[in-house]
Amino acid sequence: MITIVVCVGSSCYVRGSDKVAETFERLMNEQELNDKVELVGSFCMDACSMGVSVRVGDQIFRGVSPESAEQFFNDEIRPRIDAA
Amino acid sequence: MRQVVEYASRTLSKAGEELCGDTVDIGSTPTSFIAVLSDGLGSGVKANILSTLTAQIASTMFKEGAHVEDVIETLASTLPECQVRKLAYATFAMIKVVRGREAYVVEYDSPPLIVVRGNKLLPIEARERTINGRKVREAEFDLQVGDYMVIVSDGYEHAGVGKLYRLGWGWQNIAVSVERWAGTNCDAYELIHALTTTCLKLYDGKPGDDASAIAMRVRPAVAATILTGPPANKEDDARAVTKLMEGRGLKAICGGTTAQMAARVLGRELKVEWVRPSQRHGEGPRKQGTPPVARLEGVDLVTEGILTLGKTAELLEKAESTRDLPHDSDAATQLARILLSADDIHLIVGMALNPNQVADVIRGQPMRHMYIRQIVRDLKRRQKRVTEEYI
Repeated sequence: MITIVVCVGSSCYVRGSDKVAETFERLMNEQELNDKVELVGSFCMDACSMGVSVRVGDQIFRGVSPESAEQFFNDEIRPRIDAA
Repeated sequence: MRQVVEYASRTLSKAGEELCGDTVDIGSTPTSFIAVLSDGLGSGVKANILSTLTAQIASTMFKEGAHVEDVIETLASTLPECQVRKLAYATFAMIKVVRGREAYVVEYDSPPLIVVRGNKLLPIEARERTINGRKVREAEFDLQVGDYMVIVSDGYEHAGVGKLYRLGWGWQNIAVSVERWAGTNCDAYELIHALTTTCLKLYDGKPGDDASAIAMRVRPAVAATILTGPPANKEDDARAVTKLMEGRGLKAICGGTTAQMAARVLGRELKVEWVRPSQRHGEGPRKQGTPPVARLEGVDLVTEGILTLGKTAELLEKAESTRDLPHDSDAATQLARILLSADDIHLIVGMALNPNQVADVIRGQPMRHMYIRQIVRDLKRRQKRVTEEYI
């Protein structure tokens, strides 16, 4: 089980963390990953000012945007899920 | 224990009139509560002007501690004379309550104050005096928690005249109704609602006269303590959290980083109540725009900071009481609900600058402080006792 934490702190929220989460959720449904991934929210991860912060497992990624969310999911999250 | 007077008022205009000839003015100082109900001669514009002047002059002067003689004299020499009746006249009833306990009442040609204690009408002994040829009644008495008081204009006494009641609802019958409602342990808002609805019913929806009432209830003050923003110095983190946890009443934290700091200091888990987008329901567009709330044991409400405070400030601009708030459960509405339901509010404001949001600083001031100032102003306008502490 891999946990994806999307930051919903002030800065990330304004930058579209809800949209990013929606994209992740859609992809999780499409790729039938719901039993392998847990999607949760968290307050500020101290990595603001660059875009939405996302933590996958132990690693924090900065600067995810609603536009790049799908690619980010496929490039960074999917391999980690497959490896787990 | 601090006692406060909770109040609600409503004026009904005579059917067909756009303006009400009755005016309610509520004022208060840090230690006293003052309510005035004035009924201007006639109805419509003239009555409205007379009662507005009377209510405001009486309210301001009694607040400043003026004597009845001075108030009556000022009114007599200020009010414009009615050209038809060659009279300058508006009745009024004023109640001043110091520290939620000591009541002082002045009535000038108005129906007497109704006081209900333990579901029974409390007889109030009033002295009658003549000032400048005008008869004025004065009374002093002590209030207790659970006491209800109602001031009505004569439009209430006449409700239903010639129809359901031969001589109108009448003071005695209104008092009996207040006794019964007091028995349901209602609050001031419910009481004013019951009074207004009944009055309108007796008038068959068309009041024959301006009819107004102020409902009041004495209750213990409700307190709330809010912590927002981490302290300027990290060493003060624990002190700030302790201040919140030892604070009176409901506790709230506004700020994601502040919440994380509190969780760290308390050694408790902070859980963001975040719902996956697809599982949210009943969320209208109004709710969008405030981030989720979080749970932290021992704290009643945990919200994100700046966006929630901004939205709360917006809500407080319009809502007079918790009853005016939307029936939503988003963070800002919940915070506004806590602030509006409290009488004594203590704000602990952290002075740390968020290094991630330096762009937030407007004219040398963080956004947080601008919103806090706006919220404090709106709460004070609602006669709440607000204290601030910067750390």
